[in-house]
Amino acid sequence: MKPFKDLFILIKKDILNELKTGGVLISMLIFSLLVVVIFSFTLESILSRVKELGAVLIWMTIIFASVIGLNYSFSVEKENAAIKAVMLTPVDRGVIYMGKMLSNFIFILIIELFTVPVFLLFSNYPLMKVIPPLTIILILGTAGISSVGTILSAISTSTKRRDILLPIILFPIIIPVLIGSIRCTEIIFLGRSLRLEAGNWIAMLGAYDILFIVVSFLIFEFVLEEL
Amino acid sequence: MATLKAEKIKKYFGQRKVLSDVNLQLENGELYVLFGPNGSGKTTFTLIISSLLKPTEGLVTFENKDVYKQDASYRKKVGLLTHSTFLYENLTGFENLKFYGALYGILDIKRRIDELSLLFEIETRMNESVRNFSRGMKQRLSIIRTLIHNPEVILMDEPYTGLDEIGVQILEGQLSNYRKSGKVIFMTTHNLLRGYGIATRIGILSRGRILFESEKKKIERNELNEIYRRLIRNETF
Repeated sequence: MKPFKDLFILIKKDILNELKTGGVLISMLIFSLLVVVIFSFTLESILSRVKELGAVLIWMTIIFASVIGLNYSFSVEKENAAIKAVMLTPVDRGVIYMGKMLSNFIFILIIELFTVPVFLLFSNYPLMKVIPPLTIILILGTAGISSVGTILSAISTSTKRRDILLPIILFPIIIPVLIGSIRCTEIIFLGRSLRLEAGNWIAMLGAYDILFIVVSFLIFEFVLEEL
Repeated sequence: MATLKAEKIKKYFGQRKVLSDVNLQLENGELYVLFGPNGSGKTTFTLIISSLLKPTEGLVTFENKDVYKQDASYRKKVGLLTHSTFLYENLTGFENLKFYGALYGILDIKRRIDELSLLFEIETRMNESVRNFSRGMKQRLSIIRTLIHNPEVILMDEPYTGLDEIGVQILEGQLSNYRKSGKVIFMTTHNLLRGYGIATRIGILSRGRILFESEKKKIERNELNEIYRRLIRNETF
């Protein structure tokens, strides 16, 4: 039970810290809403004809907004070297990773909770029909982004050019997540069955999430030593 | 008897040698003060015996077990204070201590925080954001963070940083009590006067080597001052 208790304490601290400042979550939200509104207005005529394009736009918005949050994720830990004191507590290093990963996962989901419905409304997608299957894909895709993003954020935080470095190393690695998520979202937007047509993509997304969570959990101890 | 032992510790950062063959043994009820100029390796050595930093060569053991292989069991017993406060600036003093206390699994966290904040005289500031604290207040809070889980091994790197006279007196009083209760205490400082006053054993580190070591009772303060100056001068020039 202790790892779960520790996990809860770590996530609670991240949420409390964000509630105190609000800076990052609000920045992510403003950015993603702006992008969605701009896309919706400028591409209105194309989106009504080419439904697939909506999938690309929504995932591009999510990934760019995520980078804003991920970049900040470990800088708060590096300020006053607080992460060192956390490392010195009896908490398992892998649990520290899981705590940070789940905090990022929650923050990105919060952004999606506001951004996706706005995008669907502006782009005239059938809200009630699209939202249930899209929720599954958003959870799988966001888990992929936060699992890889968290470990890469920890790595890039210890470098001088962390703001630039994170997207450079993150984007190539999450290409499978992006492709899988976009393909599944396309199928949903075209009104086709996710179960019949996207089984392989969903399996791939699930496998990717598990693989990167397990690998990151195991190697996080070594990444922490460089922080 | 709990013993913290560092044997033949060497540490390189790239090509630069920071520590060479440092040996040290700390016993219960002992307050060891390590003096040394800037860049002598005091912080590196403190981090190594805390288990936060691995030496390039050498072994650190606590109760005859390698501290890097003990995982959580050693970390639970160590309290570390460094130049960095290890505090979250956006959280209040209370929230910071509650967070660390919870990670150490302290049952009655609030009582422990109240007790220590009263002791270090910052109880009226505990609900303020750490960002608004002065350096001295942050140091007091950081000392409480170090002691929150009542550690068996207390490691303090330059603990006087930013502390006013009252803060120093409270800290020294507490360290003295902890020493009498049988804890292992290790401290580094530039301040010969303060360090000498509180120590039971002293050492001088320069350029990564312990050049001098003595029981405090075997050396006068002026003598220590002279030895320190001579050793540091010889090492520098």
